[in-house]
Amino acid sequence: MPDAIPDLWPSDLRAPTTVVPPVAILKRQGALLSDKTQGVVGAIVLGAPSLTTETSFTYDFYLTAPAIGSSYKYHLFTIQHGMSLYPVKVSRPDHPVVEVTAEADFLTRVREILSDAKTRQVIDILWAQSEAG
Amino acid sequence: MITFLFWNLNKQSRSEVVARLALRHKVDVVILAEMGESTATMRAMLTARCQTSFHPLPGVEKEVSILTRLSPSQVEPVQDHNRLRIFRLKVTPLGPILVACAHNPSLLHWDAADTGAQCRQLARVIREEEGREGHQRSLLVGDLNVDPFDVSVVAVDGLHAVPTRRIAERQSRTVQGAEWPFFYNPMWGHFGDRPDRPPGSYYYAKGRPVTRFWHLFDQVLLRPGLLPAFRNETLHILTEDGIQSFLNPRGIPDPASASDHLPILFSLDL
Repeated sequence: MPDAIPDLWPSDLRAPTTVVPPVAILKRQGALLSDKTQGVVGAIVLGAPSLTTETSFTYDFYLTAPAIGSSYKYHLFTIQHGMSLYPVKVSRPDHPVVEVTAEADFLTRVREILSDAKTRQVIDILWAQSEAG
Repeated sequence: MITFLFWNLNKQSRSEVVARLALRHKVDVVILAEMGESTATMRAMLTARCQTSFHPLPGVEKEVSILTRLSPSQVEPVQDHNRLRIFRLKVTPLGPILVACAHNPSLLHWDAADTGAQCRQLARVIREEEGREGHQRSLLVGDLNVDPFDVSVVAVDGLHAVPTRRIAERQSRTVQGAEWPFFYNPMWGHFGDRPDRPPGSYYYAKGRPVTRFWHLFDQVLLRPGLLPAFRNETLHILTEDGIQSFLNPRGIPDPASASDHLPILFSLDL
């Protein structure tokens, strides 16, 4: 009986894409940070359910330090985008919101945040406290 | 009983005064904004005067400093932001509790739209952490830089803080199809003339047509789940430490001897 029912799905169910979702880029940075710090400091990306709708997605990027607390996190920035992934709004405390329209610009903005002095200071603090025990 | 002290120190060095308050009121958790000294100095003074070891909460201090004599097995940092720190009281008869400590930017630099956005962000972060923790036993304490009646504190998508226990004990209300949890704001009971209390926690008078003079920027808000452990009579806006007054002869907070804010003290029966 099941064979008598036709397959109604399109054959090209998933169109090929080269667009990497912004959240995937951020999750990769978290894994890389953990590698670079031998697991002492990492980063996680958490969805913001209260700001997420059917057409808008919000994610918070946090630094983590398991030695400080199993669920401890430090908020670095937030991104928000629609169904089409770009443009993306990148918001950071005490900075104006930046909207980027393409992946290359997103990479640039995230690189700026991850390498700026305030971020490095926070990583230093978390690393030092983690090692102090 | 766990006793909390919050004070915006206006970037002054007040470790001796803070330590006197901590000793006098048996404070367990000291939460400070605009601390004018190093954490090490404050820690040393608290430890020496209270004859018990205070330690800073691990994590990143920016606008808010937290020192406690509770052991690390009782207190765990959960989340830090630029102007917000959240920690967990791990073992209480009610179960774990989240304590959020905030210092919002001053209205001298931000307008109403900005503070509204900030309170919405505070509310969102707390709700989402509650979601991860699986409970709503939270409190928010700090210098919100807005009054209890401000739209950002009252609105459903802001802090949704209500003035009476009776309303707060309804837990939440539904507005336009969405359910919004309440905070109880006991600070409403501390406004205006009272025989033995200051009229607010912050005084600001400029030559503008609308001048409220006294404000209650320094607030504690509690989720209904914590109300069984909170007695309103434990909440005080302090005006002296037994040695010195925090007020000038006009009855206004004196930044020269203390701060431009008055400290608030409250306890939970845990």
